[in-house]
This record gives sequence, structure tokens and C-alpha cells, in this order.
Amino acid sequence: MTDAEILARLTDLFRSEFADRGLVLSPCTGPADLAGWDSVRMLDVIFRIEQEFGLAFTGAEIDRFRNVQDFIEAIAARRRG
Amino acid sequence: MSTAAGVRAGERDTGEPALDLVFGSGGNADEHLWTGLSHPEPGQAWLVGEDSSAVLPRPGCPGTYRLHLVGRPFLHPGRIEAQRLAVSVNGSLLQPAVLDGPFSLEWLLPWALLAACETLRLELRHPDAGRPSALIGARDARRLALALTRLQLTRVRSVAAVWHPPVLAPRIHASPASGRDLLLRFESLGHDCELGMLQRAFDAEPPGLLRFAGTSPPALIALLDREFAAIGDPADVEIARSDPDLLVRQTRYGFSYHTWLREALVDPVAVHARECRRMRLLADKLLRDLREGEKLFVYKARDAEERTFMAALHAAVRRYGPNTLLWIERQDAAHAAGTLRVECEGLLRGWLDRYAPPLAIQDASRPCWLDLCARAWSLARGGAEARTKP
Repeated sequence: MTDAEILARLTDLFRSEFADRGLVLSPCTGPADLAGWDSVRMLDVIFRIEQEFGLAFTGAEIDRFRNVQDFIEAIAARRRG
Repeated sequence: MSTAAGVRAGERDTGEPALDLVFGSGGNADEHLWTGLSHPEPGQAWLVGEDSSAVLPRPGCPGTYRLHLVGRPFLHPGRIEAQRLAVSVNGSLLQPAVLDGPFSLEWLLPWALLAACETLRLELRHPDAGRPSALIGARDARRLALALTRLQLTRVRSVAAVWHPPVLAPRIHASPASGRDLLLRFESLGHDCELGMLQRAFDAEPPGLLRFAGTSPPALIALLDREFAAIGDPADVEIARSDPDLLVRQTRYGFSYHTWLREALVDPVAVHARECRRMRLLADKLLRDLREGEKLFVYKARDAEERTFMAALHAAVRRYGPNTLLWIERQDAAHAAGTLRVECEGLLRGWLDRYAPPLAIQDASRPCWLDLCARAWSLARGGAEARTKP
């Protein structure tokens, strides 16, 4: 799975989570860019990503997530590993 | 003689050092670009002040290298019992050392660390430097830290099978970026939000159930023993007025935390629902951290009386796995600021110079916290021997 494919799936997930069908994600998108993306929503998003991609992040990984690029890299690393 | 961890038995040097610096009169060390290195003396040259650095040539042949540093610290009985030393290579901290006599320190440097730069940038932090003129009335007014005699860089072989990175933590007095990396390895269990605010100051924002919580050891022990059962039960969650923000009280276990939300700007009913959900999510996250055993859990004791709970809290965090509890206290007559002691496996005690004032909790003693955290991480994860700074 390429980074672009991961981004596409994340975009679908975020559109559902934030109830915004027109939402456009970029790798740089972070909590400051999306209304309602607070610390609680961050954990919601992380747990949904785990379900969507069938993986489990470590606590240390969760602590370091700051934007969409961090998700892409962590997902890609798990896919490679 | 002090030696550093990071070098393991069975490694052999490949031959002549790639770099061999001799300090002192007639030596070659001052042929390179140094800051903080005083003039050569017979057989040695002093590092002066709190920081020094060198730009050295990078070895040409890829491989793992042994950095070997020989010298002695400046000591004065009763005033300077030891010199702390933190060495960074190309921005990465090697295992720190506390030097109370002549030393021969060694660290292994992976090629990835050396290959990152065209040169080898060596930075040394030695914060305990002292002036002989002030201490013993001598004429020497330099701030002496370490007298160096030799520095060598030698390629080693047969190291791949036993290699464990010596890079354990960012340098003490960390830059914001490295401070973030360091502080993300710690999880506050309370009793207040001083560590949580320190993390924020370094742009470290780990989602933590107790990061901004007011807790007590009995509450923590109950939480841990019951694996946070029913933590988000709406009946046990109260939203209370506080100044300046709303406060969340978890009545079943007896802890509270700030919402950072002003009552006039939010709907308390919505806040209640949000906080119930938030508690459950954060409890899941904390359980994950406890079971993974990767983080250091920190409890900052209110006072000496709370020490009676230390063993029970340690046992509670160890119930989940090989976790380490860092128990923080304020310095006292028997324990100077910066002291870090291993009580038993998985239990460290550290002493801060001061606590942040309750009404200015963001005013933490950053140098002391970072120093303790760096050394605690080194002890807990580096497999190093217990070290106690006087």
C-alpha cells in the first residue's frame, strides 16, 4: 500500500469521523487545521485507524502522533514490518 | 576509575586509532577547533566553564567506532564531590557519567551516527565546574571541570551481533526538540500537573489520564488494582466550578483534573458527556502503556509522609509488567537536588531542588527535572549501574 493509498483511506475515515464529506486531508493536516480535532477526538481517530487498518499502535507511538503524516508513516511501517 | 557503559565484552579494536588526540604541552589536541578548552599544561588541558565542544574529522572508513576519553575531574572536598558529564556526538547524547575520580570513559558510536555529518561534532556538558580561586584561594580563576589527557576514536569489529545503541536520551539541558523526545518517555501519575506542564513547555503532548490530575497514592493504587474499572461511569463523574476553569472530579476513585474550559463558554452537560468518554479513552491508553512497559511512570510526592505509600504504588505499577516508577521528592538535608537513587528493581527515587509553586505550576525547575529524567531513563533503560550523585 502506497502512502497515497493510505492517505485516501485516512481521508475517508476523517470524513466519517468529522461528518464532513468535503474534507480534504494533506500529510501536514493536524489538530490546528480541523475544527473539533481535540485530544479526545485524537484518541477516537487513533482507535478508528487501528480498526480500519487492522493494527495496534504502541502507547509511545500514540504519544508522538501530531499530524496525518505521522499516521501515514506509522501505518506504512506496520505494513512493511 | 570511572568507565562508561555502552561497550561490551568481546569487541576488538581493528588497530591504530582513526583519531588520537593528546592533550597538554606538546600534544596535538589544539590542532582542532575547540571551544572551552584551556591552554595546554604539562600532560593535560582543562575543559573550562559548563560547556565545551570540538569539531573533529570524521573517520573515512564506515564501521562502528569506540570513543575513548581519559582524564580527571576537578574536585574539592565538601564543595565539588563529583563532576557530571554529558557527551553528545552529532547532537545525540551518549550515556551520561558522574565522575568522582580519574576516568577512562568509553562509548560505542554506530556508523549511522557518524555518517550523519561531514565532521564529528563533539559537545560536552560539565555543569559542575568550579573556580579554584573561590574554593581554595588559589590564583587560578578559571572554572575548571575536567582535565583531559587523551581522546581516541578507534574502529571496532565483531560488534554487530552485540550492538546496543548507547544513545539513550537527549542531552541534559536539552533543546526543545530533544527535550520533547525525552519527556515523551515519562507518564505522570500526579500528584499534580507539574510534569504535565513541563511536557507542554517542550511541545510534548502525550494524552494522559493523570497528566493534569490531582491524585493521591491511595487513589492511584485503587485505580491500578482495579484496572480502572468503570472509570467513565457518568454517575461517578462530576463537573465542578473552579477558578479559572471547570474541574472534573472522579468520585469513585477520588481524583480530579482541569478541563481548561471556562464555565461561561461551555455547556456543562456536554462537558460531562465529553469527560466521561475522555476518561474511558485515556484509561485505555494508560492501560496500554502499563502493559507495554516502555514508559517511566512518575509520582511527585506531596511530602515525606507519602513515602509510606511508595512500595505499594511501585507494586501496583509492576503488576502490569516490568514498569519503572520514578518517585520524586523535594531535596532535604540528606538528599541534595539531583540525587537519583535505585531503591530496587523498577523503583527510582529522585530529588528536585524545588517544586513549582501551586499557583504557578508551569514554573518547574526545568534543569533539575531534565537532568533527573535523562539519568532515570538511562538507569531504567540503559542497564547501567546505579549511580548516586552526592
